[in-house]
Amino acid sequence: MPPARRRLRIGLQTKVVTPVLALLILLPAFTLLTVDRRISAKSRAEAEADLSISRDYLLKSLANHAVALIARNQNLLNDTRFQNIVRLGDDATTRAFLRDLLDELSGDTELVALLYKDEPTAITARRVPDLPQDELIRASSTAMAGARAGEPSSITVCIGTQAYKVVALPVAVPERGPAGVLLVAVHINQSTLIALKPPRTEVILVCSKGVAASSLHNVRTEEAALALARTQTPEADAATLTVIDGERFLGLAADYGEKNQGEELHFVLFSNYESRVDEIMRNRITLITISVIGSALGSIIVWFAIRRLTRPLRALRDSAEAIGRGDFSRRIERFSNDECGDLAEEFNRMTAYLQTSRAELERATQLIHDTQQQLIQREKLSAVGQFVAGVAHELNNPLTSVVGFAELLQTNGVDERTKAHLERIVQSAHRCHKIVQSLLGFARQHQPERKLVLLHNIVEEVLQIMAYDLRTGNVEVRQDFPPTLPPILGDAHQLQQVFINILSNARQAMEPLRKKGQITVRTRVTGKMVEIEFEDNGPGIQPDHLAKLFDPFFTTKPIGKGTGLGLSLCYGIVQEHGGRISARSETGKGAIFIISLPAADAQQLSAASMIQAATASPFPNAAACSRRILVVDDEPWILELTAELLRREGYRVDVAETGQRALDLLEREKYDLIVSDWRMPGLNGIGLYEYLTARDPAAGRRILIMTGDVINETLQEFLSANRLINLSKPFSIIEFRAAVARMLAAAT
Amino acid sequence: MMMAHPNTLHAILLSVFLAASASAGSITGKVSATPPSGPLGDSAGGDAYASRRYKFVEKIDYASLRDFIVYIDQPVAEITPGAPSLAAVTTQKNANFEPHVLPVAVGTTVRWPNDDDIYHNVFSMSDTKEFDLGYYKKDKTPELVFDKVGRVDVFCAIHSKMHCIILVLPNAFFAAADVRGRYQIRDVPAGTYRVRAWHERLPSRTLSVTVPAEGEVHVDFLLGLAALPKS
Repeated sequence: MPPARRRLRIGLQTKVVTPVLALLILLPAFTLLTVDRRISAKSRAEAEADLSISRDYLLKSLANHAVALIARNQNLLNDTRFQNIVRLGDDATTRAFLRDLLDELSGDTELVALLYKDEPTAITARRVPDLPQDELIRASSTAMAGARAGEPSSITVCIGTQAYKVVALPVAVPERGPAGVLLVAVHINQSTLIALKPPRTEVILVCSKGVAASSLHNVRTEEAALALARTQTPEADAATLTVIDGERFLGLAADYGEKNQGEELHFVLFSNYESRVDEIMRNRITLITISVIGSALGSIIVWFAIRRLTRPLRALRDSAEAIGRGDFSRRIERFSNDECGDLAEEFNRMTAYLQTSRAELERATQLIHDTQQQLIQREKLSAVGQFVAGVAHELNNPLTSVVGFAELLQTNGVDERTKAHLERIVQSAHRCHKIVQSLLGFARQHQPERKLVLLHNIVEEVLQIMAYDLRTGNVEVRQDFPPTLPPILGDAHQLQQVFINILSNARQAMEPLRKKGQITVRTRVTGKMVEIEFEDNGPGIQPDHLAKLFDPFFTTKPIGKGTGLGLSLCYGIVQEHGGRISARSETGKGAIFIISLPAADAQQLSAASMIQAATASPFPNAAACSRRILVVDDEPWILELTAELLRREGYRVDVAETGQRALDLLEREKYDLIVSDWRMPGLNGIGLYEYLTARDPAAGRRILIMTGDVINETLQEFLSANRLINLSKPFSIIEFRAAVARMLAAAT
Repeated sequence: MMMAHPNTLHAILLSVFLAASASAGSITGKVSATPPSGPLGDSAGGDAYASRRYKFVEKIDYASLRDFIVYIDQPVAEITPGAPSLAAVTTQKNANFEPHVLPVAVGTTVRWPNDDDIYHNVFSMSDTKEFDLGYYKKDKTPELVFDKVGRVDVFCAIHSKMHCIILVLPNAFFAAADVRGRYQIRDVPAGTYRVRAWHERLPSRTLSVTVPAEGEVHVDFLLGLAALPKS
């Protein structure tokens, strides 16, 4: 993932949890806000309504107060003493009476005045001497007018910053009718307001000059009331929130309802809003607490739910990661019986399938790799084979000369000693030839053939090939052979390969032991089988290796040293021959490889002997000395040797050093037999053959090919296609004579 | 507040008894009032009566009671009832009658002057003497003769607080106790009398007293509910 994308990576959990959490927080917050606002508004509205009710209550109370005052003083009018006083009409007596009356009346009664009908001055009794009684009486004129009309009236009067409730009562004497008016002025003071005020409300009476009375003594409250009375329209029902001394009050100004001579009189109601605010706060705190707890609980539940939901996903991710690493062993448990469970099952199935696929793929890759290795090995062998074939060819020509001339010399009537020496030369040359032959056989990739072979011969050949190797490896080879052994039907080269393999393994195993190695080769007959046994005294094979010994590519050698194909190849070869190969070993006590091969039965033996008889037909006498033979070879000493041999036999021999020369000779002469080397510069054996057969198809029967290069496939194909007889170099004189004789016999 | 004016009383008594016979003794003693029992008195009625309900019930301060009158509660033959010349005065002053209690021998004339500048009225609805002197200032001084033994409560029609008692007694052997409750009835002819101690607010108490021909007899009265005979 690119870094930019990685930075923006948000887990599924976060994606789900974040909006849910946001919702969980925002929703209660929004609800809280709304509810809080509503409660606040409602509380405020209630408070205002309460205040309005309080105002009405107060107005009613004030009215009642006036009515009560009137009623109280009405009784006075009916008192006979008062009646008597009025009848007397004496100022002093009246004044004294009024003074007594004032004493009798409640303490808030400030003035009692009696105005007799048709008299300008009032007879008064006042509690406080400096009470501006005249002003008070003047201000009460409206009420007095009412009283004079016979109706008890009341009025609220403001003098300075004092308010009075004035009751005017009509005074009448039964026999004389209206006699005057009695005024009773009651001071509206704190106690009056406290008595009148509605519960939980403070009342401040405000007149134009200031606060007249207040239900509580507080300068700030009075200031606030004044301000409120001036700003607020009395008719309005809207209350104003005012802060007094840090406490919130809801204030409502109201008109007193009675006016005296333009004097504005209001009252202001204050209701403590703090308790409501407290209540709102308590509500708020409760709501917030519940919301927070709810949100927290919700968040936790959601978180757990999401974790539970994403658990399968995380498990899948981990498993996918593990599979990505190549760990197929992981399986997811089926979390739940739902889509996630299905997914887990499918995932497991997929994993299992991937596991098998991968295993198959690995096996296939291994196979390809092994095959490749095999091919490389084969290519290597093929290259070595070609190289060895070239060398062998080069060696065969000189060897042919050595053998040929040595044998020729033996027939030249030399003394016995020389003859023995010559025999040594021949044998040595033959030995060389065999080694070359073995090398060719080892490298050659030819079709397995079935010939009668003797195991002893093959073993000896192998030992000869490996003689140097074994000797330098400080290995001694013992042979424990019975005198005779039935031949077997097989491919000598392949069997050679088998034995070489086993012997070189043994040698390599013993190499690090720094002691004298010993390999014992035994042969014996058991029933219809011929057994050959190779025993060494090496370190042996580990038991767990024993079982895998013949598996292809199983090797204990370090990488690059062995292909692991050797014993596998051996196993294959032995199997092809209808035999068995087995090994047994004890660690530290060496190993024994046993190969048993079926012995050739009678039928096979007879068939083979016929071939042998044919090939080993006696050299013919020089009956036909007139026979002409042409020998073609680019090697002068081969020409010399063969020409000498054939002349001794009595043949008339011509030689040609090149193919072209041979053609020239063939143009002039007619030959009974043409002995030609295979490989020549210019026109070679094949060219020669083709030339001859082109002129006379039967001429092909008269050509004998000498080869020093048997592994060439082209040649082999050519030979087998045209049923030509070849003579491989180096050949002995006997072989040469026999071949020539056979050819001539066949030609005639 | 209202007590017998000592000067007036003495003047009256002196004028009455100076002319009396030589064979006479005095009754002296002390009149006092006591709460029914104990300093708090049973009338306190216990804790329940100390509650709000009885808060405004008048409690009598026995120690400060004044205007005790002690008199011989029977006609005394030797002495004729007081002559008309013997006059007593009840003054209306500061919207009050003075004295509050005026003991007079039957037949005594009482004058009613008004010392205030305002109108007063003097009237009584008592069975002993029913009268109404009308409204007046200083322009006149009405007089009344009390010729029937008994108690006369006098009021003012325009001042409800104005009240006095004229105690009309059968003889002139009476005395008003002073501030400390001491009294002395002089020149009482020797003999045995029923002597009564009176107070307007308490039950009276009568004792039989033998007055010696010479000297004095000492009789103390204790008024009050506790002194009532137990049924």
